[in-house]
Amino acid sequence: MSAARMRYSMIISGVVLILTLLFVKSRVVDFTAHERFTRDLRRLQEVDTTLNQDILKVRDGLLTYYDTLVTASAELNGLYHHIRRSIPSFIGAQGQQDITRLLDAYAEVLASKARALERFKSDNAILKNSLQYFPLVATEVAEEAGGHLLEQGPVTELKNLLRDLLVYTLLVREDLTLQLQARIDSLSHNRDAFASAVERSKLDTVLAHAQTILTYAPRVNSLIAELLALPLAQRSAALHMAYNRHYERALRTADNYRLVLYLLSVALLSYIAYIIVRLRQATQALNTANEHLEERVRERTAALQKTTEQLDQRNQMLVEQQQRLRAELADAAAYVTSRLPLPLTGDVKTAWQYIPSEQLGGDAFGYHWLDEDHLAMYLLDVCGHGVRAALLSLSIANVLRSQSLPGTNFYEPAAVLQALNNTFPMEQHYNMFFTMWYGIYDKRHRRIV
Amino acid sequence: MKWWYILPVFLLCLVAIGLWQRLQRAEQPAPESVAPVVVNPVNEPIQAIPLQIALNETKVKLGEKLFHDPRLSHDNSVACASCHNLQTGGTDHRQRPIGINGAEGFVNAPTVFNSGFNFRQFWDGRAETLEDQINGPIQAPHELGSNWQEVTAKLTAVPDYVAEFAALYPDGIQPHTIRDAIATFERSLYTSNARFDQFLRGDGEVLTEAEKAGYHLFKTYGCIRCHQGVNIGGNMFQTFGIMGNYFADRGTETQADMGRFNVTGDAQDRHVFKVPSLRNVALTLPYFHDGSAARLEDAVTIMGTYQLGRRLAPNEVDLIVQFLRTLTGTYKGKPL
Ligand code: HEC
Ligand code: HEC
Repeated sequence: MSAARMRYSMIISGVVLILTLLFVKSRVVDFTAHERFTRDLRRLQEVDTTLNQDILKVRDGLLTYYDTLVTASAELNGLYHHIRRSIPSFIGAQGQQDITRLLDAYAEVLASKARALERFKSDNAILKNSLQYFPLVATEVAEEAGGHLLEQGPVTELKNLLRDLLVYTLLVREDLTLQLQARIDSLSHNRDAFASAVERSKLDTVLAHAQTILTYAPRVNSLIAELLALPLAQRSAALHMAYNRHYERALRTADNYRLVLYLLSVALLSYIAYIIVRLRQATQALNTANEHLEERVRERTAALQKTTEQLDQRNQMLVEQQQRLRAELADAAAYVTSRLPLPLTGDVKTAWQYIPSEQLGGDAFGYHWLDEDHLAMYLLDVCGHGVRAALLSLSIANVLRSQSLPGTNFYEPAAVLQALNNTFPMEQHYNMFFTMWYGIYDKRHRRIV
Repeated sequence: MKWWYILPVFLLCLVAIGLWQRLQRAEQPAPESVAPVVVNPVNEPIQAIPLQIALNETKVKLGEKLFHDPRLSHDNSVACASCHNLQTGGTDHRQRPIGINGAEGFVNAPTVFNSGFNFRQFWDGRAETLEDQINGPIQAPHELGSNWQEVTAKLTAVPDYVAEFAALYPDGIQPHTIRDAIATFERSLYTSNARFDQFLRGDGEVLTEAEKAGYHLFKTYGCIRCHQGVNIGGNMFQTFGIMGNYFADRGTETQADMGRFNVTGDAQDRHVFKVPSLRNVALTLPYFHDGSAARLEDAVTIMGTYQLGRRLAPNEVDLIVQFLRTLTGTYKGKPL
C-alpha cells in the first residue's frame, strides 16, 4: 500500500469513527426507558393519592376491609424498588446521584408511611370495635342497673360518659382526654355501687371499651394526620422534577450531538458531491484528451506511413544498388574467371575447375609457357575474399603472366617469389598478404622445378 | 478512488440502524411480572376469591414437585408437604410440626392455602413475600435443616429438574429460581368458590339461615374488623389479647409468644401477630400460633374474650362456627 493510500484509509476510518460516535451519542436517550420511568413516577403519585383516599374511607367506615390499603402499599414499595433499579442509563452520573439521593429520601418517608399504616390498620380496627360495642354494652348496663339501683349517681355518670365519649371521638382534644380519663377511673372505683357480680363484670367490660376508645381515638386521629401529612407526594414530585431536569439535559446533549452529526454529514455529502463533480470534470477532460489523442494518433500514423514509404523507397534503392553491385561483382567475377588461362592441349594438357567463394575470391592460378619447354604454373591465395583480394590476386597473376618483374629470372621459383614478396609488401596492400605456390615444368627433362 | 464510496454507504447504514432501532423498540416484550390479583369488589367487608388466577402453569407444576420433594431437606426425610399437607387443609393438624430428626417447631404450622393473599408471611410477618418465606423452612434446623448450596447441589444432580428448570429459567437451578417456582405454586393454592363466596356473588340461597346469622354475628360482634378482605384476615397485625391478657391466662410464655416483637424489637409489638386468614379454617385445626385451641369453637370463644371483650354464648359460638365452615373452598375443582 502506498503512503497516500494509507493516509486516505486512515482519514476515512477516522471520519467513520467520529460519525459512529456522534450517532451513538445522539441516540443515547432511550425513549422507551424514559416512558416507562415517567409512567412509574406518575403511578407512584397516583397510588399514593388512592392510598390516602382509602385511608380516609376506612376512617369514615366507607371502606370496610384493608385489602386496597395493602395492595396500594405493596405497589408503592414495588414501584419504588423498580424505579430505583431502572433509572435510565442516559441520565448522567450527576443525575443518577441526585435521583438516588431523592429516592433515599423517598424511601425514608415511604417506610414511615408503611409503619404508620400498619399501626393505623390495627388501631382503627380496635377503635371501631369498641365504638360499636361500647354504646350497646353501656346502655345495657345502665338500663339493667337503672331499673333497681337506689343510688342513680353511677348510672347517670355512665350515661354521661357514653354521651361525652361519643362526642369526644368527633373532636379529640387534650383537655377532654384528661377529664374523661378521670371519669372512667372514678366509675371504676365505684364499681361496688353495682349490685351483682354479673353487673360488675359487665361494667368492667364497658369501662375497658371506654378506655380503649379514649386511648385509641387520639392515636388513630394522629395516625391519620401523620399519614396524610407525610411528604410522600412532595418527595415523589421532587423526584419527578429532578428526573425531568436531567432528562432534558440528556435530551439537549443528544440534540447537540445530533446537530453536529447532521452538520458533519451535510459537510461530508457536499464534499462527496464536490468530488463527484470533480470526477465528472476529470472524465470530461479525459474525453477531450482522448479525442485529441486520436487525432494525434492519426497524424502520427500518417507521419509514420510517410516514413515507411520513404524507407521502402530507400530500401528499394538499396536493393537496386545491391543488385547493381552484385551485377558488377558478377562482372568482376566473370572478368576474373576470364583471365584464367584456357586449358592447354598438346603435349601438356591442363584441366581445372574454379569455384570461388562469394563470387569473388582472392584465389587464382595460372600457367603459361616461358618457352617451348618450360611451363610456369602457380597457385595463389590472397588472404580474405571479395573485390580487394580478387584485385590483388588478379594483379599478381597479371605480373606473372606478363613477366613484368624486372631483373627476375622466371625460371627460378625462389627468385620469382622473392620478387613478388618485394613488389607486394603487406603494408602497402591494406595489410593483405598472400601465399603462393610457383613451379616450372621442364617438358624436355620431364621434371618440375 | 473507490474509497469514497464507503462514506455514503456508511451514512446509509446509520439511517438504517436508526430505523431498525425504532422498529426493535416497538417489539420489546413487556417484562413478565406477577399480575396483581384483581378482586371484583362486592359491598361486603369480605371479598370473594377470583375463580381463576392466571399463572405460569409449567412453573406451578415444577413448584408442586419441589413442594413435595423431601430432597429439599438435609436428610431427605421431610418435604414442605410434610407440614403443609394439601390433603389436610395445608396443615399437619399437629400443635407444633415435626421437622428433620424429629425436632419440634415453636409455633403451629399455618396453612399454605391462600397464603398468596397474605400481606406478609409467618405469624410474626417476618417474611415480606412468599419468595422470602421459603428461606425460612429451608434453613431452619427444626424444619428442613438444609441450606441453599446443598439444595441446589442436590437438585442439580437430578436430570429431570435440570431440564425443567432450564426450560423455565435462563439461570437454571438457582436459589431464586427454586423460590420462584415454589412461590408460583403457592399462588396457585387459592381455594375459590367456597359456599360463602357463592353467597357473596349473589346466591342468597346457598347459605342456611344459621350460617347467615353466624355471618351477621361475625360482623356485628367485630370479628370482621380484623378478619376481613379477600382472605378474611392476612392483611394486618394485631395484638393477641387486646381485651385481656391471653398469655397470662394460658401460662408459660415462650419466645414465640412475643410475636412481632421478635422482628421489630418495638415494645408496641409485644404479642402482636398477623391476623390469620380464616379461609378453610374448619380444616386447619389446631388453632392459633401456639396451636392451643383444638376445636374451632374454642378458638372462637377465645377470640370473643380476648379480642372483643365479649363473652360469647355457646349458641353464638355455634352460629359463628357454622358460618366459618362455609369458608371452605375448592382446590383444583374439588372441595378441600
Ligand atoms: C417442619 C415443618 C415445616 C416444613 C417442613 C415447612 N414448613 Fe412452612 N411453616 C411451618 C411453620 C411452623 C410455619 C409458621 C412459622 C412462623 O410463623 O414462624 C410455617 C409457615 C409457612 C408459611 C407462611 C404461611 C402464613 O400464613 O404465614 C408458608 C407459605 C410456608 N410455611 C410454606 C412452606 C414451604 C414452601 C415449605 C417447603 C420449602 C415449608 N413451608 C416447609 C412448618 C413447616
Ligand atoms: C382485634 C383483632 C381480632 C378480632 C376482633 C378477632 N380476631 Fe380472630 N384472630 C386475631 C389474631 C391476631 C389471631 C391470631 C392469634 C394467634 O394465634 O396468635 C386470630 C386467630 C383467630 C382464629 C384462629 C385461626 C387459626 O388458623 O389459628 C380464629 C378461628 C379466629 N381468630 C376467629 C375469630 C372470630 C370468630 C372472631 C370474632 C369473634 C375474631 N377472630 C375476632 C385477631 C382478631
